[in-house]
Amino acid sequence: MTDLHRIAVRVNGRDEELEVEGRRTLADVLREDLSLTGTHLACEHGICGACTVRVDGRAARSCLMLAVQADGTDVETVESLAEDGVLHPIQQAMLENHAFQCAFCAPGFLMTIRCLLDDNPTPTREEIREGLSGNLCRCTGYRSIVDSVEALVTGHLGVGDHA
Amino acid sequence: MREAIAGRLVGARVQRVEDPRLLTGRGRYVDDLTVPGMAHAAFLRSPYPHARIVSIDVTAARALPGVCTVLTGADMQTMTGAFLGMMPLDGLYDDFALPLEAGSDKRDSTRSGSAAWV
Repeated sequence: MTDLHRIAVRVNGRDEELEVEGRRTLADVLREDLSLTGTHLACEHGICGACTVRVDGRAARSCLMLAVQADGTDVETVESLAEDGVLHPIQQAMLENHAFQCAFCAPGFLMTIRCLLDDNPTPTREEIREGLSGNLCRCTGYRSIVDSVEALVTGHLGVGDHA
Repeated sequence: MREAIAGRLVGARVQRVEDPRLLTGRGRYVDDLTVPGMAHAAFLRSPYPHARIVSIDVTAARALPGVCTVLTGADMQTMTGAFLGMMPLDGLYDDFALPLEAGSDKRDSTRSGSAAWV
Protein backbone atom coordinates (compact mmCIF):
# COMPACT_ATOMS: atom_id res chain seq x y z
CA MET A 1 0.00 0.00 0.00
CA THR A 2 2.73 2.48 0.83
CA ASP A 3 3.79 4.35 -2.23
CA LEU A 4 6.36 6.80 -0.90
CA HIS A 5 8.35 9.15 -3.09
CA ARG A 6 11.17 11.40 -2.04
CA ILE A 7 10.86 14.91 -3.43
CA ALA A 8 13.00 18.03 -3.17
CA VAL A 9 11.09 21.26 -3.41
CA ARG A 10 11.90 24.86 -2.60
CA VAL A 11 9.03 26.37 -0.60
CA ASN A 12 9.05 30.08 0.18
CA GLY A 13 12.81 30.18 -0.25
CA ARG A 14 13.53 27.14 1.91
CA ASP A 15 14.75 23.83 0.51
CA GLU A 16 12.56 20.98 1.72
CA GLU A 17 13.19 17.24 1.41
CA LEU A 18 9.91 15.39 1.78
CA GLU A 19 8.64 11.86 1.59
CA VAL A 20 5.14 11.84 0.17
CA GLU A 21 2.59 9.31 -1.00
CA GLY A 22 1.92 9.48 -4.73
CA ARG A 23 -1.78 10.17 -4.20
CA ARG A 24 -1.29 13.34 -2.12
CA THR A 25 -1.82 16.78 -3.56
CA LEU A 26 0.60 19.67 -3.27
CA ALA A 27 -2.06 21.51 -1.23
CA ASP A 28 -2.25 18.72 1.35
CA VAL A 29 1.51 18.52 1.67
CA LEU A 30 1.84 22.30 2.08
CA ARG A 31 -0.91 22.38 4.71
CA GLU A 32 -0.24 19.14 6.60
CA ASP A 33 3.47 18.42 6.24
CA LEU A 34 4.78 21.98 6.17
CA SER A 35 2.02 23.58 8.32
CA LEU A 36 1.48 26.29 5.72
CA THR A 37 -2.25 26.55 6.33
CA GLY A 38 -2.51 29.90 4.55
CA THR A 39 -3.21 27.94 1.36
CA HIS A 40 -6.90 27.09 1.51
CA LEU A 41 -8.94 24.27 0.06
CA ALA A 42 -12.54 24.90 -0.83
CA CYS A 43 -13.85 23.13 -3.94
CA GLU A 44 -10.90 20.76 -4.37
CA HIS A 45 -11.57 20.42 -8.09
CA GLY A 46 -10.03 23.47 -9.65
CA ILE A 47 -13.03 25.78 -9.79
CA CYS A 48 -12.62 28.20 -6.90
CA GLY A 49 -8.93 29.16 -7.00
CA ALA A 50 -8.60 29.34 -3.20
CA CYS A 51 -5.61 26.99 -3.30
CA THR A 52 -3.65 28.97 -5.91
CA VAL A 53 0.12 29.01 -5.34
CA ARG A 54 3.04 30.10 -7.51
CA VAL A 55 5.05 27.24 -9.00
CA ASP A 56 8.19 28.28 -10.92
CA GLY A 57 6.64 31.70 -11.37
CA ARG A 58 3.28 30.52 -12.66
CA ALA A 59 -0.07 30.31 -10.92
CA ALA A 60 -1.06 26.73 -10.14
CA ARG A 61 -4.00 25.06 -8.44
CA SER A 62 -2.34 23.20 -5.61
CA CYS A 63 -5.45 21.00 -5.23
CA LEU A 64 -5.03 19.69 -8.78
CA MET A 65 -1.28 19.21 -8.62
CA LEU A 66 0.24 16.16 -7.04
CA ALA A 67 3.07 16.79 -4.60
CA VAL A 68 5.33 14.53 -6.67
CA GLN A 69 4.79 16.87 -9.63
CA ALA A 70 6.30 19.67 -7.56
CA ASP A 71 9.61 17.79 -7.29
CA GLY A 72 12.41 20.15 -8.29
CA THR A 73 10.21 23.24 -8.45
CA ASP A 74 10.15 26.55 -6.62
CA VAL A 75 6.83 26.96 -4.80
CA GLU A 76 5.60 30.18 -3.23
CA THR A 77 2.53 30.46 -1.02
CA VAL A 78 0.73 33.39 0.58
CA GLU A 79 3.13 33.12 3.51
CA SER A 80 5.94 34.30 1.21
CA LEU A 81 4.45 37.72 0.47
CA ALA A 82 4.97 39.80 3.62
CA GLU A 83 8.55 40.38 4.73
CA ASP A 84 9.47 41.09 8.34
CA GLY A 85 5.89 42.03 9.14
CA VAL A 86 5.65 44.49 6.24
CA LEU A 87 2.77 43.71 3.91
CA HIS A 88 3.49 43.12 0.24
CA PRO A 89 2.03 45.93 -1.94
CA ILE A 90 -0.70 43.54 -3.16
CA GLN A 91 -1.67 42.78 0.44
CA GLN A 92 -1.58 46.50 1.27
CA ALA A 93 -3.81 47.25 -1.72
CA MET A 94 -6.36 44.64 -0.62
CA LEU A 95 -6.27 45.93 2.95
CA GLU A 96 -6.81 49.56 1.93
CA ASN A 97 -9.68 48.68 -0.40
CA HIS A 98 -11.49 46.34 1.99
CA ALA A 99 -11.16 43.66 -0.66
CA PHE A 100 -12.41 40.75 1.45
CA GLN A 101 -14.61 39.90 4.38
CA CYS A 102 -14.03 36.36 5.61
CA ALA A 103 -10.75 36.25 3.61
CA PHE A 104 -10.94 32.52 2.92
CA CYS A 105 -10.41 33.29 -0.79
CA ALA A 106 -7.78 35.99 -0.18
CA PRO A 107 -4.62 33.82 -0.33
CA GLY A 108 -5.69 32.47 -3.72
CA PHE A 109 -6.48 35.94 -5.02
CA LEU A 110 -3.18 37.28 -3.71
CA MET A 111 -1.16 34.62 -5.50
CA THR A 112 -3.18 34.96 -8.71
CA ILE A 113 -2.69 38.74 -8.65
CA ARG A 114 1.02 38.20 -8.03
CA CYS A 115 1.27 36.04 -11.17
CA LEU A 116 -1.03 38.32 -13.18
CA LEU A 117 1.20 41.34 -12.50
CA ASP A 118 4.31 39.32 -13.40
CA ASP A 119 2.82 38.71 -16.84
CA ASN A 120 1.31 42.16 -17.25
CA PRO A 121 2.41 44.89 -14.81
CA THR A 122 -0.14 47.39 -16.16
CA PRO A 123 -3.38 45.54 -16.83
CA THR A 124 -6.56 47.42 -17.72
CA ARG A 125 -9.64 46.96 -15.55
CA GLU A 126 -10.97 44.52 -18.12
CA GLU A 127 -7.69 42.57 -18.10
CA ILE A 128 -7.76 42.49 -14.29
CA ARG A 129 -11.29 41.06 -14.37
CA GLU A 130 -10.23 38.47 -16.93
CA GLY A 131 -7.10 37.62 -14.94
CA LEU A 132 -9.09 37.07 -11.75
CA SER A 133 -11.94 35.16 -13.40
CA GLY A 134 -10.59 31.86 -12.09
CA ASN A 135 -10.96 32.85 -8.44
CA LEU A 136 -14.24 32.83 -6.56
CA CYS A 137 -15.19 35.10 -3.66
CA ARG A 138 -18.53 34.58 -1.96
CA CYS A 139 -18.43 37.76 0.15
CA THR A 140 -17.46 40.84 -1.80
CA GLY A 141 -18.96 40.84 -5.28
CA TYR A 142 -15.41 41.28 -6.67
CA ARG A 143 -15.54 45.04 -7.22
CA SER A 144 -13.32 45.85 -4.27
CA ILE A 145 -10.84 43.19 -5.33
CA VAL A 146 -10.59 44.61 -8.86
CA ASP A 147 -10.35 48.08 -7.29
CA SER A 148 -7.37 46.89 -5.25
CA VAL A 149 -5.41 45.75 -8.28
CA GLU A 150 -6.33 48.89 -10.17
CA ALA A 151 -5.18 51.07 -7.26
CA LEU A 152 -1.93 49.15 -7.21
CA VAL A 153 -1.18 49.47 -10.93
CA THR A 154 -2.21 53.14 -11.11
CA GLY A 155 -0.15 54.03 -8.05
CA HIS A 156 -3.11 55.07 -5.93
CA LEU A 157 -2.08 53.26 -2.80
CA GLY A 158 -1.98 54.98 0.53
CA VAL A 159 -4.05 57.89 -0.77
CA GLY A 160 -6.60 59.29 1.67
CA ASP A 161 -7.13 59.29 5.41
CA HIS A 162 -7.28 55.54 5.83
CA ALA A 163 -3.72 54.68 4.86
CA MET B 1 -16.49 58.30 26.31
CA ARG B 2 -19.35 58.14 23.82
CA GLU B 3 -18.04 61.26 22.08
CA ALA B 4 -14.56 59.83 21.92
CA ILE B 5 -15.77 56.65 20.18
CA ALA B 6 -18.16 58.51 17.89
CA GLY B 7 -15.47 60.95 16.87
CA ARG B 8 -13.07 58.15 16.07
CA LEU B 9 -15.40 55.68 14.32
CA VAL B 10 -18.51 57.38 12.93
CA GLY B 11 -17.89 58.73 9.47
CA ALA B 12 -14.33 57.40 9.44
CA ARG B 13 -12.88 54.58 7.38
CA VAL B 14 -12.13 51.99 10.03
CA GLN B 15 -9.50 49.34 9.39
CA ARG B 16 -10.31 45.88 10.71
CA VAL B 17 -7.85 44.61 13.29
CA GLU B 18 -7.84 41.08 11.84
CA ASP B 19 -6.87 42.04 8.28
CA PRO B 20 -3.06 41.78 8.48
CA ARG B 21 -3.42 38.29 10.00
CA LEU B 22 -5.87 37.18 7.31
CA LEU B 23 -3.80 38.64 4.47
CA THR B 24 -0.61 36.92 5.52
CA GLY B 25 -2.11 33.43 5.71
CA ARG B 26 -2.25 33.39 9.51
CA GLY B 27 -6.03 33.15 9.76
CA ARG B 28 -7.30 30.11 11.65
CA TYR B 29 -10.19 28.44 9.84
CA VAL B 30 -11.85 25.21 10.96
CA ASP B 31 -9.72 23.04 8.69
CA ASP B 32 -6.57 24.64 10.14
CA LEU B 33 -7.34 23.54 13.69
CA THR B 34 -5.91 20.48 15.38
CA VAL B 35 -7.15 19.35 18.78
CA PRO B 36 -6.07 16.31 20.82
CA GLY B 37 -7.81 13.11 19.75
CA MET B 38 -9.36 14.78 16.72
CA ALA B 39 -10.99 12.47 14.17
CA HIS B 40 -12.32 13.21 10.70
CA ALA B 41 -15.81 12.41 9.47
CA ALA B 42 -16.71 11.15 6.01
CA PHE B 43 -20.29 10.97 4.78
CA LEU B 44 -21.62 8.28 2.47
CA ARG B 45 -24.76 9.36 0.70
CA SER B 46 -27.27 7.23 -1.12
CA PRO B 47 -26.52 6.84 -4.81
CA TYR B 48 -30.29 6.73 -5.42
CA PRO B 49 -32.36 9.93 -5.51
CA HIS B 50 -35.52 8.20 -4.20
CA ALA B 51 -35.39 4.73 -2.65
CA ARG B 52 -36.18 2.77 0.49
CA ILE B 53 -33.34 1.72 2.79
CA VAL B 54 -33.72 -2.02 3.29
CA SER B 55 -30.50 -2.60 5.18
CA ILE B 56 -27.04 -1.11 5.64
CA ASP B 57 -24.02 -3.36 6.13
CA VAL B 58 -21.20 -1.48 7.85
CA THR B 59 -18.95 -4.41 8.81
CA ALA B 60 -16.42 -3.81 6.02
CA ALA B 61 -16.20 -0.10 6.88
CA ARG B 62 -15.78 -0.88 10.61
CA ALA B 63 -12.96 -3.30 9.83
CA LEU B 64 -10.85 -0.71 8.02
CA PRO B 65 -7.72 0.38 9.90
CA GLY B 66 -8.04 3.76 11.60
CA VAL B 67 -11.83 3.82 11.58
CA CYS B 68 -13.13 4.93 15.01
CA THR B 69 -16.79 4.28 14.39
CA VAL B 70 -19.47 4.02 11.72
CA LEU B 71 -22.83 5.63 12.40
CA THR B 72 -26.06 5.14 10.50
CA GLY B 73 -29.47 6.73 10.82
CA ALA B 74 -30.43 4.11 13.43
CA ASP B 75 -27.56 5.28 15.68
CA MET B 76 -28.46 8.91 15.18
CA GLN B 77 -32.05 8.21 16.20
CA THR B 78 -30.88 7.45 19.73
CA MET B 79 -29.12 10.83 19.92
CA THR B 80 -31.40 13.26 18.15
CA GLY B 81 -34.72 13.68 16.44
CA ALA B 82 -35.38 14.39 12.78
CA PHE B 83 -33.85 17.55 11.44
CA LEU B 84 -36.54 19.90 10.26
CA GLY B 85 -35.54 22.51 7.73
CA MET B 86 -38.67 24.49 8.44
CA MET B 87 -41.31 24.74 11.16
CA PRO B 88 -43.98 22.07 10.57
CA LEU B 89 -46.84 24.51 10.24
CA ASP B 90 -49.81 24.19 7.95
CA GLY B 91 -49.07 25.66 4.57
CA LEU B 92 -45.30 25.65 5.13
CA TYR B 93 -43.22 22.90 3.58
CA ASP B 94 -39.55 22.43 2.88
CA ASP B 95 -38.68 21.28 -0.63
CA PHE B 96 -35.13 20.51 0.42
CA ALA B 97 -36.28 17.81 2.83
CA LEU B 98 -38.06 15.88 0.09
CA PRO B 99 -36.40 13.18 -2.02
CA LEU B 100 -35.44 14.51 -5.45
CA GLU B 101 -37.74 12.11 -7.22
CA ALA B 102 -40.69 12.53 -4.90
CA GLY B 103 -43.63 12.99 -7.23
CA SER B 104 -46.21 15.73 -7.12
CA ASP B 105 -48.40 13.52 -4.87
CA LYS B 106 -45.81 13.65 -2.13
CA ARG B 107 -45.38 17.38 -2.50
CA ASP B 108 -49.12 17.94 -2.37
CA SER B 109 -49.59 15.77 0.70
CA THR B 110 -46.75 17.63 2.43
CA ARG B 111 -48.27 20.91 1.50
CA SER B 112 -51.57 19.92 3.10
CA GLY B 113 -49.83 19.26 6.40
CA SER B 114 -49.30 15.47 6.48
CA ALA B 115 -45.56 16.04 6.52
CA ALA B 116 -43.32 13.42 4.97
CA TRP B 117 -39.95 14.13 6.51
CA VAL B 118 -37.51 11.33 6.02
